[in-house]
Amino acid sequence: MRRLVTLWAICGVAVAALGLRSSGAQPAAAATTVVTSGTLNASCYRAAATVCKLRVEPFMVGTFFGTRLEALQLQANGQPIWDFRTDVSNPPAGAYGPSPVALDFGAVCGHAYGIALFADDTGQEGLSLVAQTGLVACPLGQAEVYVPLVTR
Amino acid sequence: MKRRGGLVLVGLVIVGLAILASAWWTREEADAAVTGFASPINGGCYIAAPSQCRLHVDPFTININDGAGARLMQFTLYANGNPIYAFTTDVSNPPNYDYTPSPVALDFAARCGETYVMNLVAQDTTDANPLNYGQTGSFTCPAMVP
Repeated sequence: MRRLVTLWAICGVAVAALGLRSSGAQPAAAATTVVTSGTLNASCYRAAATVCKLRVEPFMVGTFFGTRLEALQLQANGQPIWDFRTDVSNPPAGAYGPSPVALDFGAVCGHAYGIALFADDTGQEGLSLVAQTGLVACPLGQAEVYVPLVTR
Repeated sequence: MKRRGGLVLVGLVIVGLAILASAWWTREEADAAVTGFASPINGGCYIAAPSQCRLHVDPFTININDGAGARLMQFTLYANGNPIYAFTTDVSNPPNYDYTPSPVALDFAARCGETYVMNLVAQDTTDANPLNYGQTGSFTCPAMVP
């Protein structure tokens, strides 16, 4: 009888251990979480007489339930201006804040832009919108006109 | 007697399964240890001006085998297999710790509309040859200023 109890105990432990293992794998596979982001703030400035730049403030994104960040994309008026991928072997989990780009983003002076941030994690297929700004109006470019000086 | 033998057999099967499961977990931990020196790199491409795209890599740390007394010798950042950033450490006193290089000032040149993969190849004194320490997924540079 004692052996029978021991066998059942071993059986129980084995089943529980296997159950724990499979339950550990389930959330990552089944989760359909979407990356979240705090705020997205952006501006447009004139960098030279006819050159305007979009500047996006540093931002954070977060993944949940064991998912990992795979991709980020910034779009201006629906067109990509920054395409970003994480490490294929060790993508980040939890909160991640990409570093600011060095030269900011190209823009056309006088145009207004809506900036949107899209993200993709291992729990979903493809990019989804996580944050966007209102319209950012770029300053008007100031064309420099050189008029020939006529002298007598 | 026959029933007892059957029970013992069932018990042995269960113990065998438990050992197999344990071996599986141990194998996974061993894999994790091998990849423990991986140095993830994350990066992308942005458009900085008309027809001017740039590759930007987030700050990364090169995890060397410092537990074994390794020192970082060199690393190179590649874009589509072409070197874009070559870095060599001090010959007399190379770093003996996980090393984080400072970001470059102007990012890296890229072609607009082209798709890139970046990878980090490094070598410490315990590596016989340079090894791939990290690699991004593929991303595409924007085609034009919106």
